[in-house]
Parts: sequence; structure tokens; C-alpha cells
Amino acid sequence: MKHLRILLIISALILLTTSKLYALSSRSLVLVTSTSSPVNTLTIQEVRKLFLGVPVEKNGESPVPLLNNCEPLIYEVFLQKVAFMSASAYESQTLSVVFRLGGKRPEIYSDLNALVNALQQHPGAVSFLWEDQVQANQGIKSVSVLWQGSLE
Amino acid sequence: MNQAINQLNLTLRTKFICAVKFALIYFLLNSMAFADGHAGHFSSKIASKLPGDLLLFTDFTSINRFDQEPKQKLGDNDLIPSLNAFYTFDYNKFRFLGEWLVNTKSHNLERLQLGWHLGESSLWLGRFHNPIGYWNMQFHHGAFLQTSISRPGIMAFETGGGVIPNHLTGFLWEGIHEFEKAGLYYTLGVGAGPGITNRMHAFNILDPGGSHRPAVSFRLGYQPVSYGSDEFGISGAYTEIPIDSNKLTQTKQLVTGAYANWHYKSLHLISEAVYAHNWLDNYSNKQTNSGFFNTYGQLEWNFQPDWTLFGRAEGTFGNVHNNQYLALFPKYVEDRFMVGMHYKLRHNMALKVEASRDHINNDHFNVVMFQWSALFP
Repeated sequence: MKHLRILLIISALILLTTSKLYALSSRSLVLVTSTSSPVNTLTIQEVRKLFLGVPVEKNGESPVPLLNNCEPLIYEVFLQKVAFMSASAYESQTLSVVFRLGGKRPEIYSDLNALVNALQQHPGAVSFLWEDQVQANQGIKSVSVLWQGSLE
Repeated sequence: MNQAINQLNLTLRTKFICAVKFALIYFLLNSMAFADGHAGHFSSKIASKLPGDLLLFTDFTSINRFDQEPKQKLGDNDLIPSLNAFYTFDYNKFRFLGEWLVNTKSHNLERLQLGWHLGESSLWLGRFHNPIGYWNMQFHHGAFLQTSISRPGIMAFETGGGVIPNHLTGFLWEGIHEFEKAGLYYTLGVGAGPGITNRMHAFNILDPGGSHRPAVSFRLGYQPVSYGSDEFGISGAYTEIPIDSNKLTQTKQLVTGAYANWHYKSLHLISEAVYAHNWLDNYSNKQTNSGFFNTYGQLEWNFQPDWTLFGRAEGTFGNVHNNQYLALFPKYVEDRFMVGMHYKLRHNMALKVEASRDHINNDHFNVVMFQWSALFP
């Protein structure tokens, strides 16, 4: 009975540690916009089109994409899970779409504060951030989850 | 004699002035790109101040031909600096798009389009790239977008002795219908086609002279991932082309084709097969008809992140040597075997070298080409 109790405690500890570790490595990539923005949720396909330079109109709104390149990891997750392309393929495809069909290449941001400021100041603008970054900044809100999972 | 020397001096002086102008533009644009410090081909701070998007494609191409036999039909050397300016902006449901090309061989308003968004599609009015085949609409004058320096002979520009119309002026309807992840690209163009004098001349909006007749063309392509780069499809065109020559008055031309643009890991294949048939009218009101078939395949291997090895084989089959239509285009490259290397110098610059064996109208020659190409801002 005593052995069984010890075994149960060890199992519980292992479970707790694993879930805590998972929680630490698990992240959510979310689509964000200003809190005053009328932009509603967009599907992954719509977000992909938008960031390729194709205009997307939903509920009378035409969101403007701001490309987040503040850290390599978030850009890589965006490429793999939303754009479904490598960085060079994404760059050349965006260029090709705009050259062929018109439109505008997304403006790129490599500074998080500048990106958050741009989102706050332009209610029609959208970008992607980690969910914890949205919680840490005022004036912006998450409108849809683009990807959720653990980062290895 | 003196007149010839003066003319030669003038030509050299004009070329030198052109080269200096292009060098200045290059350094100005390059300093803009460095000052801006942006990564990738995305809107820089300079471009983002504009209501739309501005793309400046610039390139220097050196062409060296040798062993021309049995006749020397083309010059041995050419140095062609080129600037292609593209600008587009949206206003509510309308979109404007313009492209202007200037180089030492020609200057043209390549595209001038006013579009209206209709949900998943757009309706354009103006001068546009003819949707014949894949290459023509995909790369056009954006040398930086193209891995190779040369275009396939069948897709050569009108100004370069091309045999099929590259531009139409009229209406263009195009869009992508999405179903789940995949997409169906569709386009239909109707408008004024080109005319033929010493070469093919597309309708010029700024100088709408000459004789032009109706043309219609379409392209239908399946994209495994919508708005992705892979596409497999078909295209077709019917064009009535007035001809100003000693024997012929006009041709009714039918062009059909199939194409594939496919990536597999570090490999990239672009291939097209085109059949063109012409019903030619001559001054004695007699009609003759003849057809020819052209195909090309370009394989690219991106063996290092910045290095791509590429090769292309192209050939024309059927009634080629007695073809009255092809006889109007002495610069048409019937067959070509080419290999080359593309090096991405920076995110917005590329260096290319290409060697080929070309065959034009019973003549053969070797070509070595070098190109520096870039995109600004």
C-alpha cells in the first residue's frame, strides 16, 4: 500500500512537470489588430492571401497587412503554418503577385514597439504576434488563432 | 565616309550617355535601398509613403555572339541597359496599374490598366500582357524575377522579333476561384491585336496608329495551392493580324498551348508546348495555311541558397523552313540549347551568366550572355 502511494505521488509529479514544460514551450500565433478596429476574424486562407499582397474584403472592411519580422522564430512559424512556403519562395511569390495583379507588398517591421504603435494608430491594420505579446501590450487585440502548438 | 564616322561617334556618344545615366540611377537607387535597410522584397519606408506600390526593375545585359554561320545576321556584341518602372495603386474598388520600359533598343508603355474589383475577379481596361502561355504574364520585363537571361524564342517580345502577340489592348477579365486549398486561375482577354510590318507591332496607346484587328485569348490554370507558384494549365488565342509586306495582307492566327510550372524540393521546372496555325491571305486573294509546333523545358536546380544552375532546351517542329509566316520573322529563335548560372548577390540583386547554341532561319551561332539585374526600392 505504501509502495503504491509512493508510485502515485511520483506519477503525479512527472505529469505535473511534463504539463508545466509543455505549457512553457506551447505558444499561440494570433492575428492582431487595434482594439478600435472593426476587423473581425479572418481564416488562415484569407490571412495567407492578405500577406501575399492580394486584397481581402470581409464585412465591408479591407485589412492592411503589416509583416512581423521582429524575431526570426515568429516569422518562421508564420511562413510554415500560414504562408506554407519558404522565406525565399514567399518573397518572390509576393513580388510576382503584385507585379502581375497589382496590389501592395506588406510593409515589414523589425521592431516590436514600432509594429504595436502602427497597429494602435491604424485601426484597419493587422499583423501576427504571440498571444502573450498581445496581453503585454495595450490597445491591441487578438482576433483569431493562426497556430497553436509546442515549439521544439 | 566622314558622315559614317560622325554617325558612329554619335551612336557611341549616345550609348555612353545612356550608360552614365543608368549608372547614376543605379547608385541612387542602391543608396536608397541601403539607407532604408529593409529585408526582403517588401515595402520599404520610401515605398510605404506612396499610396500604392512602386517596383523599379533595372538590368545591364551583355550579349556576345560568335561563330555565326553561314551568314552573319546579327551583331557580334550588344550591351543593353534597361529600366522597367511599375506602379500600382488602389482606390476603393478600382485599381490602376502602369508599366513603362526604357532601354537602348526601345521604350514602350508596356501596360496601362484600369481595373475594377468584382469579388474574386477583376475586370481590366487598357493595354495588358496577352495571357498566351505562362512565361509571358509571369515574368514579362521583370528581369530580376526570371532565373534565366533569355526568354524562350516562342515567348520573345514583339520588339525582339517575337512571333506571337505579347500585348493586347481592350478588356481583360481575370481571377482565381478557390476551392479549399487549391485554386483555379482564369483569364479572358478581348481587344485590339498587333499588326506586322518589318516586325510585329502591338497597339500603342500613346500612338494609336497602324492597322489593328480583333484578338481574343484565354488561360486556365490549376494551382494545387491557390496563389502559390505551382500551376498547370492551358491557353489559347485567336488573333487577326494585318500584314504589310510584298506578298501577304493578313493572317488569322490560332495559338493553343499547355504549360506546367512545378517545384519539387530544390528543383523547378517550367515547360510549355505551343501549336500555332496561320491562315494567310495574299494580294491575289489566295489563302494558304500552315502550322508549327514549339516546345521548351527549363529546369532549375537551386543547389545552394544563393546559387541556381539552370538549362533550357527549346525547339520548333512541323512546317518551319517553308513557313510563310515564320519567314516574316528573321530573328525568331527556332531551336536553342542553353545552360546558365544564377547567383543571388543580395536580396534585391542577381548576377547571371548564360551560354547557348541558337538556330535562326538556317543560321547557327553561339551566344554568351552576362546580366546584372536588380529590384528597387
